[in-house]
Amino acid sequence: MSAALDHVGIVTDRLADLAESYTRLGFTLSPLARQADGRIGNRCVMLPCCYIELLAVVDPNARSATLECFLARYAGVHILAFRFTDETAELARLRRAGVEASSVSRFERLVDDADPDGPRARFALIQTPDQPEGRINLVRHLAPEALWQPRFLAHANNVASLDEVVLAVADPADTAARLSRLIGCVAVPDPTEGFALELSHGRIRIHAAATGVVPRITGLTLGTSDAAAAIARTVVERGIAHHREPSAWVVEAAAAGGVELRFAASAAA
Amino acid sequence: MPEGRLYIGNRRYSSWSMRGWLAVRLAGLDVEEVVIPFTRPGPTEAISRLSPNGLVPYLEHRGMRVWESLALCEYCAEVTPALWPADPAARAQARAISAEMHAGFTGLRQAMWMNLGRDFAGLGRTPAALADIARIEALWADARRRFGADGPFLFGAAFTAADAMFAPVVTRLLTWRPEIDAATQAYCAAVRAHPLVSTWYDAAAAEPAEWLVADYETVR
Repeated sequence: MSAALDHVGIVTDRLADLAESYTRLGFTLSPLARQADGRIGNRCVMLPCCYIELLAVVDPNARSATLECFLARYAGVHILAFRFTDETAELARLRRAGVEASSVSRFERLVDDADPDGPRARFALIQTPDQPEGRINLVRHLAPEALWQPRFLAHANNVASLDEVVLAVADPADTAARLSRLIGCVAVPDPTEGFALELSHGRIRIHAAATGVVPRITGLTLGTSDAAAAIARTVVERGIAHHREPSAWVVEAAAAGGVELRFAASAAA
Repeated sequence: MPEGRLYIGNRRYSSWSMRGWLAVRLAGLDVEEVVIPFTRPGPTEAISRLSPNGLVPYLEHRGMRVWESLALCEYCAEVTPALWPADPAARAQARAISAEMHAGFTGLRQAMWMNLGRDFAGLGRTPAALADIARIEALWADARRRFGADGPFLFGAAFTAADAMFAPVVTRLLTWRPEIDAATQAYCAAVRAHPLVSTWYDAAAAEPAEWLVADYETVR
């Protein structure tokens, strides 16, 4: 079975500002939900296949060593989570791959802080050793209906899928081989450059870095159900920094929390 | 997502839990807190089953397991080195007095246990407890004189692991109110006012009445 992307985590030091940026881009965000005893909060862009998590320390009297460490490198995507279905098989696979993974832990959190009696998201989690490219988690959802509520899934920009994650690294072959073992998927040459990890939905593209902080998760490709027509109107009307590519409208990283967002026609479409 | 769990006992009574919790919070570890209320008489079975040494605090963090408060402080300082003073001489002193706290002061700990919800003023003044308090005051005064000029804590402006190790002693002095000098009182006030210590007190006050342990609520 090939791996599936579960979510990506964008780390910021100002959650309200980042949420505002994503709202301006036409995303519907889940309500503020706190975790880690209220110190860290998130807002999520829920898509049918997976989700984008915006997260930050939200308690002004608290700190998070992990998020501080991420932010010391850059604000942006630092977390990639992949879905598994069988804990025993997944831990065995990791052991065979020579990966020292912690055991499976479970945790839960509210989906909406304003509704303390509301549904709770529940997860089983396998944490793997930190990679230079970021945190790689393996996740199984124990209450998916709590997160994937219909009210979160409709987006004004008609985004329907997260099709690609782009990494810029110093040595694409090394990174591809390492992440392939960690995630449990095949690394293949990318048609444009570098390598790609083919997932059951979408892919991780691993390119050689030209400039800037390396390694870094630089881009997300989002599939839209209207060939990016709505996002094209949005970025123009709202003056959001962007540029055009032949098959996509691209929102600059500075306008999207440190990661370039490519809006294209949905791969499924 | 959380990176592990910190298991602690009743905030009202568990002085070792308070030390471990302060270190974890000062270091900013992303762990969930799990409170296991004490059951008496005898050890709390749920803690005995869980923790390698049968005690709290007990930390699971990214697959690693850490128990004993001082080891926990050292582990947290690997994540956030500022838990110990930056100056080598101050750092050595901070480690030495923290180790002395971890290993000793049984006279004080037995006679004046931690209870954040009671006023035991004037009680518990055994010779052993008073001797321990005298030694602690001397340790604090020495650290403050040599290294603490730029702030209210033992080693200056920053609340370090040494302050975390002694924070439960501060609570004892506030609960049992033995005779202490003005400098000690000022240090106690500073520790009590620290946001993390206040958070701990507030959470202790919110613990359910069913968690009260009779042995710790009355002085024989």
